[in-house]
Amino acid sequence: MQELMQNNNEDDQGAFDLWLKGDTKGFSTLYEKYKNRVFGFLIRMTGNREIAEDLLQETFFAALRNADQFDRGRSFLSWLFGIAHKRTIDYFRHVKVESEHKEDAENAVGSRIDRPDKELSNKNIQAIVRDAVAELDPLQREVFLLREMAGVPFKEIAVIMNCPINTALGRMRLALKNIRKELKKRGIDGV
Amino acid sequence: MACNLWEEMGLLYSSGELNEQEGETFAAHIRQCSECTYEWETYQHEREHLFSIDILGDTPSATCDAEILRVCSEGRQRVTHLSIISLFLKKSAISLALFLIGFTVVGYLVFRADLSEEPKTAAGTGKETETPAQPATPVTEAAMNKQHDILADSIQHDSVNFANRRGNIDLKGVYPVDLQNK
Repeated sequence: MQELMQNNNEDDQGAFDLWLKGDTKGFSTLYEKYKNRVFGFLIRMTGNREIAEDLLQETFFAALRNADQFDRGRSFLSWLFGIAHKRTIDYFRHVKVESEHKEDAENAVGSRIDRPDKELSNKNIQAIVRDAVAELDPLQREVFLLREMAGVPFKEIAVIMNCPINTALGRMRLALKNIRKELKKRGIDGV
Repeated sequence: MACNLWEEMGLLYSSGELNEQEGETFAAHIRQCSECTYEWETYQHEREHLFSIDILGDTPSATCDAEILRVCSEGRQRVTHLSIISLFLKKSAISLALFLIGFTVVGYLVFRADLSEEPKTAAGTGKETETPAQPATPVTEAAMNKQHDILADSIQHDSVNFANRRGNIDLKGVYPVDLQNK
């Protein structure tokens, strides 16, 4: 599995080098490969499609501006998610300043839905899991998404989120525990 | 939960962050410990079926895609050496053109201002030449004396004025102190 990840990194770096040289193919390869993950992360974090699209644009534009700062020792995806994390933090700071006293916690999770129990089709499983993720504490949610969607190692998550590795691990454990509880409530059991 | 090794090492094991020896030890432990086996299997199942990109990922709109691809592709092209030079030349040409336009406009305005002043002076001299010459009158001695008196008065008046002015300046301390005493 680690070999696969290493090959993946090498492919990404090849595409990244092409992009740096001005070859548009390099960028479109990386974008097509990772847009769903990054967008998924942003939409799960913000709960709003339009905002997530804006942040997705900002993330890739910031990657463009700071391409020269990319550390070859890291994976491209970790780096990209690091940028997406910063964009999300900036967005939440902005929202906090704009509506400090508004109770927008309910609206902030736009994808949250209270669906009646239906047959557990794939669509429903998707909605239930997304709901369970949306219910998480934002810090737990972020660690969970960075780990599960981007495959960022905990060591790097700790750096991205500016916290000790044990805090990142603790948040991940809590996230998994809470998701399982929520899924169980809605009729999905882990195994 | 009797075994807490999963709590300590399970996540790091699954993310491949344990060193080789720790990894092997923990893998051996999982095979023996039913609790850790259960945790490991549950987590693997969740990752595969519930936490996959299909479930948690999402697709941005085509408009968003197109915009990002357009800006990022163009943006990166602009950074290459040749394009930096062409961008510099383009910006220099625009700056030069703006400077020339400004210079021409200012020059034209100054030229117009000069032209508008010239006819006035020309008209003034014209008037002087156009005025008919006064007939020469004989200058009497009395008239000459009167003119002399007027001139003397005006000189005296000027010197008084000058003295007054100097006095004022003097008061303000412009002149040295010894002059003030005089």
